[in-house]
Amino acid sequence: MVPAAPPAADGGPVDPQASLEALARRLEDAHRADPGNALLARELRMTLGKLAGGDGADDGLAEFLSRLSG
Amino acid sequence: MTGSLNFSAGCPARWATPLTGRPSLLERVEVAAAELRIDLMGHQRQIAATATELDGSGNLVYQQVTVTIPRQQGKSTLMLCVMVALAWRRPRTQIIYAAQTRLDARRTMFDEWWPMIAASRLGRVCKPRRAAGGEALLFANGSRIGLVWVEEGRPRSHGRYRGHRRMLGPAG
Repeated sequence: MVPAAPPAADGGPVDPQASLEALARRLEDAHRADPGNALLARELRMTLGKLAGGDGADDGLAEFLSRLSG
Repeated sequence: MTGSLNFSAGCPARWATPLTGRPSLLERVEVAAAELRIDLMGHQRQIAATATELDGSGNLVYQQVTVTIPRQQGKSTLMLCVMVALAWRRPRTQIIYAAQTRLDARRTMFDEWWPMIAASRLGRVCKPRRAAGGEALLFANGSRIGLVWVEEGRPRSHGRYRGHRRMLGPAG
């Protein structure tokens, strides 16, 4: 299972936050479709952790969110 | 979660739809509640367990749930926990909270719910949108909790609601 490709870049500036959120959504969709794929789960957890903690600060939010999303 | 749950620690409802043994979102509601520092009472857990039962496809069994309990018995705090669980369960979930008036709806969202969210780790993946008419709590996964209220005496020049004193006001 591979997350759907993001839309083609239009050459404009990249919004890191928006891109990260979009990536998290694609990974969530992919993870839901293939919950046994540990690589996907790891990528999702790391992406959520990045979203939640900025520069890597992680007070367990990613783990909490994974419990919430099942 | 199954129908073997024990709610006797609280005050179980005298009349209630019985649990069927289907899985439910109770565990996730409890995770959300714990994060929000809400200690769910027995009747709240009973409501959450019943109302969020899932079918074999993972969809909610009940399209409509009616809960009748006295005021100040934890309805809106339970709603917050359920809505957070639903919002984070699936990306881009659209949730609407309805109240009597716009002021009531805003008070619940921004004076009651948002401070609890902001004080928790959820505050890092959720942000409020306070713009009039577009009030909402926006989650990083694209889900949203919006508001709807009932206004009195709002003018409306056409349509089937003409002449009615009350109508629904959308938000967000």
